[in-house]
This record gives sequence, C-alpha cells and structure tokens, in this order.
Amino acid sequence: MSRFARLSAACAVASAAAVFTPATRSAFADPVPAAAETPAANAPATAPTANTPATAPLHERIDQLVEKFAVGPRSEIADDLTFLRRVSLDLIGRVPSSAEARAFLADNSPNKRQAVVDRLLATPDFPRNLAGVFDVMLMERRGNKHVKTDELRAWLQKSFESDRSYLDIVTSLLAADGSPDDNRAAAAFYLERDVEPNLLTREVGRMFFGVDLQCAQCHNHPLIDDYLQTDYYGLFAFVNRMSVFQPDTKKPALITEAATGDTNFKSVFTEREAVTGPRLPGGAEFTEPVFATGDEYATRPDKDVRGIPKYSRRQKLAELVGAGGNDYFDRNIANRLWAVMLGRGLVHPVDQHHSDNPATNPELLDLLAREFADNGYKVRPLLREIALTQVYQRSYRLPADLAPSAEVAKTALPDLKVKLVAEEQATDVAIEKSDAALAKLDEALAAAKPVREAFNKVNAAAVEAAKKRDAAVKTLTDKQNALNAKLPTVTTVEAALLQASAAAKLISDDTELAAAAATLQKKFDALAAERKKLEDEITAAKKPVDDTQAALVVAQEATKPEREKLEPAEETIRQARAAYVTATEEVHTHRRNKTYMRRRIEFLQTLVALAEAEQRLKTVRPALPVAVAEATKAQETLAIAQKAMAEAEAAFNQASQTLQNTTAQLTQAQTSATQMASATQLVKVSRENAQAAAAKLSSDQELAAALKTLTAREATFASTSQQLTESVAALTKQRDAAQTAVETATGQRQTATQNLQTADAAAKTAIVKRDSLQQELTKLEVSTSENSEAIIQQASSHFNIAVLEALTAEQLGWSLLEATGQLHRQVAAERAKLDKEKPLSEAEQKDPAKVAQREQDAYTAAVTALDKTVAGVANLYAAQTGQPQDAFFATVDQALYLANGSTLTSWLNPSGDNLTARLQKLEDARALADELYLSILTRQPTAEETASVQQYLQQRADDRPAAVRELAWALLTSVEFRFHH
Amino acid sequence: MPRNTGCNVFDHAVSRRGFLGAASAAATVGGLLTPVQAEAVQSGHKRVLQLYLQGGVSQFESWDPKPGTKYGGPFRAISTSVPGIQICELLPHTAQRMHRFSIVRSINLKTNDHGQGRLFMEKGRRAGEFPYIGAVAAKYLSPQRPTLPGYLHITTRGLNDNTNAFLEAPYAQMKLEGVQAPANLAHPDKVADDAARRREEIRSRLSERFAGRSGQKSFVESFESSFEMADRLMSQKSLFESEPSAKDVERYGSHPFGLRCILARKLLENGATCVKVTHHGYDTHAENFNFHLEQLGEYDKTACMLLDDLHDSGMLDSTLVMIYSEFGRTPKINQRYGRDHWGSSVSVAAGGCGIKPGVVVGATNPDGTAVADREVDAGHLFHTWFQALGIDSTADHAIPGKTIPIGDPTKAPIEEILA
Repeated sequence: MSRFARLSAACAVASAAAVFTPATRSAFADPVPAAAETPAANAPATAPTANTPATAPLHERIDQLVEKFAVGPRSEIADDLTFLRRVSLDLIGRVPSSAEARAFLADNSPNKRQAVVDRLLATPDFPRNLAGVFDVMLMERRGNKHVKTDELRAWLQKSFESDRSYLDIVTSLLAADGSPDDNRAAAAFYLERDVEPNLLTREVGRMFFGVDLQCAQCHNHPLIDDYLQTDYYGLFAFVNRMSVFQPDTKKPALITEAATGDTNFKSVFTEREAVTGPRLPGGAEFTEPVFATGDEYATRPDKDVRGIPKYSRRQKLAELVGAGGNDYFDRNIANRLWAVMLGRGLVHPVDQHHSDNPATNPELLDLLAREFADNGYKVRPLLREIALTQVYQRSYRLPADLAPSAEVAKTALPDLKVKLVAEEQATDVAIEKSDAALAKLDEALAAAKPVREAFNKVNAAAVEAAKKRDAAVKTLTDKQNALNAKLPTVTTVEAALLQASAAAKLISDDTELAAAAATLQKKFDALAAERKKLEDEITAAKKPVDDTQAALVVAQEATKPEREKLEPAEETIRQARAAYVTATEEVHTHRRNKTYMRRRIEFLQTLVALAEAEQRLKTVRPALPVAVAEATKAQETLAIAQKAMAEAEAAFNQASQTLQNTTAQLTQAQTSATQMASATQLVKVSRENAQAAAAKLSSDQELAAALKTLTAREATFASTSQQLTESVAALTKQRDAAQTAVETATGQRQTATQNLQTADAAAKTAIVKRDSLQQELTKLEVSTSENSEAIIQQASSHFNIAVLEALTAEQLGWSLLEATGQLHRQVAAERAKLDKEKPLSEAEQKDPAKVAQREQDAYTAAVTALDKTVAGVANLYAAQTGQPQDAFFATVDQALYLANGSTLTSWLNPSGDNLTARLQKLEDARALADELYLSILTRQPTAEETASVQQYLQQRADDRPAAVRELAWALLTSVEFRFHH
Repeated sequence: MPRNTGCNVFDHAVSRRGFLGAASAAATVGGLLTPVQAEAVQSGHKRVLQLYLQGGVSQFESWDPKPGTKYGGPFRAISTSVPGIQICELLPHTAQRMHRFSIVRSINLKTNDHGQGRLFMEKGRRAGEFPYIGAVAAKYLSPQRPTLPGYLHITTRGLNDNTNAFLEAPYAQMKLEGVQAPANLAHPDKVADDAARRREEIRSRLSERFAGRSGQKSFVESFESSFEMADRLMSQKSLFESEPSAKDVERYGSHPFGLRCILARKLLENGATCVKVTHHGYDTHAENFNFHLEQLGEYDKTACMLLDDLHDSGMLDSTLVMIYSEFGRTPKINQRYGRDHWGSSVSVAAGGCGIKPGVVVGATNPDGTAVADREVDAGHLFHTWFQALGIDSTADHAIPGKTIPIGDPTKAPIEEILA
C-alpha cells in the first residue's frame, strides 16, 4: 500500500474520531480494520494483524490504537542498529558495544528484536537503570539531605529486581515516616522535600497524579481551568499535619504528625472562602474517625517526642493510593512510562494532565493505564510490550514527502467541526451545571461555618482541659521516671545493708563492719526518705491527673452536642463537594473532547494548507521564470518604443522650428513686397503726372530731369517688386512644405505616443504579474516551511516519527564509558582483582555457572566503581534540582568539559583493550572506520564517511595515534552521539 | 607545543569584522575609547551590573542615614552632588557622583531571612520557581552571537541556586570563582591547536549531517552553539589570565573586590550581558559600625572607579547598575554594637541605563523604623529594572507552551526613577 493510501485510510478512520467519554473507554478493544503494513526490509519484532482481539498481546493492541487515530506523515520502521541502540539506551541505560552490534547484525532470526528486548530485560543492568530512572523521575535530583540517593536507588533496584508492584512502591513512599523499623529509603520522598506541606502538595500531585497544582494554592489556577484551589487543598489536607522531626541533629530526621489542623482557604482573587477535608484528585472526601479532644494521639508530640496520631492522614493517603482505582494515578504512571520509552508523554508535559492538554491519543493512554493496573502495576512487562510495538520502532527520519494528499483530511474536516461545536455547547452546559453545584457547595460551607465556630468555641475549652491533663500527666510521668531511676539504687543499698547488718550481727565485735553497716543504714535511710518523698509526690500528682482527666471528660462531654451538630453539616459539605467534583469531571470530559477536536482540526487544516500550498507551488514555481522573461521582453519593447518616441519628438520639434522660421521669413518678404508694390504704384502715379506735365511744359528741363528720374525709379521699383513677389511665392512654397512636414511629424509623434503607451501598459502588466508571482512564491515557501515544521511537531507528538531527545545525564555517562571502552577496562580490572583475591579452582574454571558468576561479580564491581564517574557527568548534564529533568540544554561548561576536560582525554588514551587501543591495532582504515562508527554511533559508516576517515588517517600519517584520538573525540562529541534517536 | 593563538577552532571572521568596523568608527567618535569599549557602546547591547552587598548592608550606614536620632549610630550624613540628597559619610566617593544615581528608601520585604530576602530581590517574587534578574536579562538582552555567557557571577561562595528556573540553560548563571578562569578553558596538552581545529571540523560535519536528517533543528543548534560559546570563551581566556594594569589596581584597589570589579568591567566590555559581583561580609550582628567603616571603605572607591570607567567609555547609558542586598539592618543596635536582620525598611541604589538620576523615592519615618511613604517591595523593583532596560515586564516570558508573566502581575514599576 502506498503512503498515500495509508494516510487516506488513517484519515478515514480519524474522521470518525471518537468522542471520549467514560462510557466509551473500553472501545479500544473493538476490532478495527487496520491499515497497517509491514515494510519488508526491516522486520519489526511483531506486526499487528488485521483483526486484533482484546486478548491479543498488548503491543498489538497499542499499535491498533495508534493506527486507528493516525494522521499525517509517518516514518518507516527503524533499521536494526538504530533499534538496538534505542532499546539498549531505554532498557539498560547505555549504548551497545560494537560486539553487541555485530552480533545483532549477524543474527538472522526473525524474532531477534523480541529476543534482544527479553535479553536486556533479564540483565541486572535493567533494574539498576530503572532505579536510576525512577529516582530521577520522583526526586528530580533531590537527595542526600536526610536520605542518601544511593540508599533510595538501592531500594528501588531491589524492588525492580523482584518486579515489585509500582503501586506497592508508591504506597511505601507515601506511608514512610522515616522511623528505623520502617523503610528509611522510602522516607526520601517526604524528607528530601523537608516535609514542607505546600511543596509536598505540589509534588504528590505532579509525581503521582500528573497535575501541577502549584498555581492553585492562592486561587483557582489562572490559566488551567481544571486546576481548582479546592483540589489543591484536598491534597494539602493529607500532608499539612506533617513536619520534620529532628530534635537531635546527630540523629536521623523523622516525620512527626499532628492529629489536628483544618484546611481553610480563601481565594485572593474572588475572596471565596472554603474548607475541605483530604481528597485525592478526582476523588471524593470521606468520613474520618473522630476522637475526643485530648484523646487523638497514640503518642502525643512533644519537644523530644515524635507525634503519632491514632488516625494518620499520611497513612490514609498511602492506604487510598494503595487501594488502586484512581484514574489520575493510573494515567499518570502509564504516561510517564510511555515517556520513558518514547521520549515524550502522550500527555506532554507529563505533569500537565488537564482538559486543555489532552493526550494525543486518549484511548491509548486509557488502554495503557488499565492494562498496567490490571496486571499488578508491574513495570518490566509493560516496558517489554511497549518495546515490541511498531510505534516504538519507528525511525526518527522524516518521510520525504510531508504533504500527502489532503483530500481525505478535507472530507474529514466538516464532520469534526460539527462535533467541535457540539462539544463546545456541551462544555458550556456542563459549566453551568458545575457552577450550580459550586453554589450549592458554597451554601453548605456557609451553613456549616457558624456550627463549626460554635464547636470550636466549646472545643477550645476541651483543648485547654486536655493541655492541663497532659501537663498533669507529664508531671506524674516525670516523677515516676525519677522514682524508677532511683529504685535500683535503693534496692542495691538495701541489699547491701541487709547483708552488712546480718554480718555485723554474726561478728558483733567487728566495729569497722558495724560502722560500715551504720553508714549503709544512714545512706539507706536517706534514700528511703527520698523514695518516700517521690512516692508521696506521685500520690499527690495522681490527683491532678484524675482531676484534670475528669475536667477533660466534662469538657469533652460539652463538645458532644456541638460535634453532633457539626457532623451532619460536614456530611452536607462532603456530598455537595462530591456533586461539584462530579460536575467538574463532566466539564473536563467535554472540554477535553473539545480541545482534542480543535487540535485535530488544526492538524488536518495544516495538512490541507500544506498540500494546497504545495499544489499551488507546482504552478507558481514554473510560472515565475516565464513571467520574469515576459516582463524582461516587455521592458525591452518599452525601451524601443521610448526611443522611437524620442525620435518622433525630435523630428516634430525640428519640423516645427523649420515652419516657424519659414513663416517668419515669408511674413517679412510679404511685408517688403507690399511696401515695394505701394512705392512702385506711387512712383508710377507720380511719373504719369510728371509725364503729363512735361507734355504740357516740354521745355521745362527740370521737369524733364525729374521725369527721367521717376521713370528710372519706376523701372527699378517694378523690377524689385517683381523680385520680391517671386521671393514671397518661393517662401510660401517653403512654408507650405514645412507645414506639411510638421503635419507628418505630428502624425508620427502620435503613433509613437500610442506605441509607447501600449508598451508601457504591457510592461507594467508583466512586472505586476512577475512581482505578484514572486510574492506569492515567497509567501508559499514561508507557509510551507512553517506548516512543515508544525507537521513535524505534530507527527512527533503523535509518535508518527521517533521523538528526538537528548540522552539523559546517566545515559550519557554510561554511554561514554561503554563507547570509549572504559567500562570494559574496569570490568577487566575488577576480574583480575577477584581472580587474585579469590582465584577460581580448576574445577570451578570448568563450571560455566561459576565462570558466569565471576563475570557477573566483576561487572557489578565495575559498575559500582564507575557510579561516581557517572554522577560527575550527571552533575554537569542534569537539570537543576527540583526542575523537570526531561528538557534538553547545552551549556558552555559541558562543551568545555568535552573539549578540554581531563576525563574524556584520559579515556581516549589507548590502554588495555579500550576503544583507541582497539582502533590503533586496525591497520586497515576501512576496518578502523567500521569499528569506530559501530562503537560510538552504533551504525556503519557511509562510504563517504569511510573515505573521509581514510583520508584523515593519511593526512595524519605522521601521528596516527593522535589521528585516531581526534576521530574518536569528534564522534563522541557529535550531536548524533548526544541524542537518542 | 604550538603557541595558543586563542582563536583557533571556529572561524571568527564575523566578530572580527564587527570589531574592526567598530574600531574605525570609534576613531571618529573621539578616539579615547578602546575598540572593545567602542563596540560595547555602539552595539546597542544593554547590560546589567549587579553589585551585591552580601549579608545585608545597613541602610543607616549607607543610603538612608538618620544622624542624631535614636538609632542613627555614630556616622554623619554628608551632602552630595545633588542638592538636597544626603547619604552616609562612609560613601564619600559615591556622594560626589550622586547625580548618576537614584535611591529607593521605602522597600519593605517583610522577611528577615537571608535566603528569602535574596530570592525575593533576585526573582521579584516571594515564592515559586522563577528566574533571577540576571537570567532574564541574559535571555532578552544577549546579542545574537554573544561573545561571553550572558550571566556571570563573580563570587567565592557556592550557593547553588536554580537561577534560570524554566528559562533555557544558556541563561543560567555561570559562576566564576573570584577572578579565577573557568575550568577546562585550555586544550589538554595532547591536543594542539591545529588538531583541535581538525577534530572540530569532523565533529561539526557529523552534526550537520545529523541535523539535516532529523529535521529537528533547534536541539542541534543549541548543542552546536554551546561548542561555539566554549570556543569563544577559550579565546577570551586572556580576560581571566591577563594581569590587570598597575593603574587599574591602584585605582580599584588590590583587594579581592577591587580585582573582581576590574574583571567585571572587562567582562562587560567584552560582551557579557549581566555581571554580578558579590561583596561579602555585611552581616554585622556585632561591631556593625567598625565593619561598615571597613567594608564600605573598600566598596565605595572601588565601585566608583568601575562606574567612572563605564561612564567615561559611554557604556553607563546602556548598563543598568544595581547596588543591593538581601535586606537591611535593624534600627535597634544590639549589645554587641551590631545590627540584626531587617527587611522592613530597606534601601537600594541604582543608576545607568533607563534610570532617572538624582532622585530619591519614598522615605522611612524619622527614626527609620518603618516605611513612611511610597512603600514598595522587590516585586516593584523587579519591574523597574526591566522597564529601565526597555523590556516590558508585564509581558509573558517567551517560553513555548507556557504563559508566565515576566514580573509579578500584582506589582508595578517605580515610575519615579525611570528615565
């Protein structure tokens, strides 16, 4: 089946996403058609079958539920070596040796994964490692204040060696009071937190119920609707009567407990006041045994006396938890164990179980919780089942295609949205109901308040009377103790006296003896007087005891009617609170479903968005270069048009200029011609007149001369005029030509303008197209990258791919020791030591059991010897005390330690058969690369990596030992070694 | 063995370029600054200098003198460079520079416990897991590629506090044992510089390959950056190794506090974001006056030399300077001439980045037995420091998946001393 088809099938099931209500909790057992396939190459330990009945092994049912709700891209099953490294780290806390890796590779058995899981679970390393894991989980690096961490780890290790139930372990922790007859190690949980009630409330909540109620101490949690102040004080009531008891700092601290102490609280936000009895998260209050005031203690606390109440709330807490059946408790541990193996909880962070943070697969969490509880809370079998699942065996490497078709997601969305709306409405209705229940609870609290005050008033007299009685008892006890201390002396002196007197009687002349007897008599008399005095005082002291006791009884009697009134009032509160808790649980259920729907919708929408973006990218990516080319071409066209326009403009301007010039010339010529024509006319008229006069006056010489001049002028003028007229005609022609030229240029300019406008518009369009494509591409790429990251995140939180996590501090320490060969060197040293101290006889050397035992002893001794080294690494790599220990961080100190610290440097010096010594001996660079990568990274080098090792060794042929050290250092300090994958 | 060039493994091209750029720019500014100072000023990098007077300095003998009153003690009050502000005569150098400081005299911590007082002053909250001022400053003020860890504490007493709480590990306090260099700062003898570079190349190539395949880059980046930071710290080894100049020693004093303040200046100049210097020994249950005479005598001149240097290099404008203790001391003088723990009327002084100088906020009553005006506590101070540094202390921490306000939402900054 293709990945697409797998996804489709998964989404199809997801679209029917169940609404989780307590009623449908057992739905996991229903057989669901599985869309699973088993990749041929890397056979997982097991594969789910198509139909998995409820009786199928748990790992198959886990995979079934994983498949049922799977969505998004999923990785393949990891290869053999990755699996070996992972399972070794998780089960025994260190990477495998190169020999183990080779043996696993060489094993051709189809069940080899299951076999290695079983082998590792059977090693002594498993309980040892698990003890460390639980110590870190429960104590978060607290320790050594009152109880040694080693002591706690040893106790846990013993518990896990015998597969003691987790429920039993927790019951011991919660019941412990540190007394020597009790289990001292178990008291670490309380004592290392200084038995501080607020801290214990938070820590019991976080560690055992998965809820961090810290912010609900002074008011309901401001951000997490589920976490109520009333829940905080329900837990607080179990622990607030305890405190550290250590009157003598030289002696071990114990836990003392008071018999009284109510839990009143008031919200600093709403001023709402309330009081609560002890109550587990999700549980109900209960009726507590009542003792008359003054009679509450088995051992009354005093300065030097540890208080032991007749009814201990600490014991009650242990008892309630030990009875099992609390869903919060079961889900918390199931989730934490899942996180131990998978690197992340189904609910994450592991102390944030609430309806705004539902499990990524709630049915799976419920299955794990129920199975774990039903099978006696045994850790080893559960871890085994988890190790055998396919989901555990997935590769950390992402599938190449992150956005398979979103069509199925698309079709699933409308249905989910409808369901979301329904859950939103159901949540609102449930909130209304819970508000009403809260109002009823407040009424009950208010009604009980005066009754409690009346009781307290009467009870105060009883408390006072009890104090007086206790003082009287103390006086009497002190006297009795004094008498008891005196009595042996009196008896001894009396005996001596009797014998001395008897002797003196027998030997009556012995004065010295008589004197001695007399002295003894005197001494005895004095002592007898003292005894008498004490006896009298005791008699006297008895009366106040009787009197004060009588007074106390009277006072106690007086409290009875008030107590009788108080009890029903408290019962009303308990019932109202139970109703309120039920109502809030209903709210949680709907809100959890709502958040789950919302998250799923977001995931599907991200998938759809990614697929759509990738689809669109398919169009946009190739379209962009085309658009870029078109824009370039349009811009070129525009440039040509612009040039043509400029030329046309220039031509027009020139033509216009020519026209202007010729027009001016023409005008001037016309003026001159007109003038000349007028002048010619005038001269003609004048000549004609002169001619007529001369005809009449023919003799007039002067007149004749004038006529001559006029005639000459007329001729000249006529000629000039003629010339001018011709010139005008010529110029008119020129003007007309210029006119035409202008008209032509105008036309050409107009054409060029039009061309330019067209080219400009085309260029603009092309640029807009190009830019918008560019913008879209950038946007798509950003959103694709963001959505891909979101999908990786989601895929990882849904365990579709293996979670990448840093090695824990202990894993890192032991892995460094294993990979450098230091562990094996230490084992060899311890073996040699044992062989020297207690050599095996020849017969023993032939007994495989004896030899194996010797090997085991040497290994245990080596591990014990190296514990301190690992603790040193942990110092540098572990998170701060009291902080969650699962977050990865990298500090300068760590890097400096790896780069320059003497520890790693010395481990990299060839010695015995450690890593660098082994590598040194391998002359073939290929073999060296192989051993190097298998020892440190539990994988074979790629061809490229082998080549670069070869090349490096050649480069450093002058100092091969140094080259080997450098290579080993580089691999050990690489991010690949640092991470669990 | 080849000479340790100090700059051997990673390529420092980027920071070197920055260095040169700043150096040439500095010449145009005035030419008096060293290149590092100039870079420190021009980078826009804001910093914090914490002078922590451990044990609880007496407010009477420092910022809130009450001469001639019932509990005033033997010392006089002296005028300062700011008309109207008087401080104790034990701080003559500080008095001359009062125009660079402001004082808050009305702090009521409501605790007389060293631990609680210190945690309150550092976290701005009375209880709960919250990061210290220095860690918050390192998170939000550190440059992209810091040349030194963001939060350095020069001290000799090893209180192992969880200073970063839920903030990422690189912002935790890195403790420096007095003026000693941190551990493992030099390559082991066997590893020569070129070998270190070569092995680092293989290491980072492997890491790159892994990062590419895992798709989860943030882990890898954080891991790789720790090696880079380690390398940068190694290349800054001389900061710890070079002897301070005779002139500096003469000005600051040759006592441990003097040498630590010289180191503090070097660290601030070279890229640290928050440097805390602890001056031990103010828990004066006996001989309060003699001890304060001695202690503040050492503190006053040394601190002023450091402040002068920061001022002269122009760094003071971008460096918030806090002078504080876990609490103050009782008005009542006990039979051993001591003053005991007192959290009810405490003073602090501050100056530099974002602080309006020459201001006195709040007052105690005439005998100094209670706050009389403008009562504040360490929650208000916490907001004030971050507002001064330009960080919105009412916003939430940038922690994925969590919503935690930076400052206590029920408290507000002391606006009167904000510039």
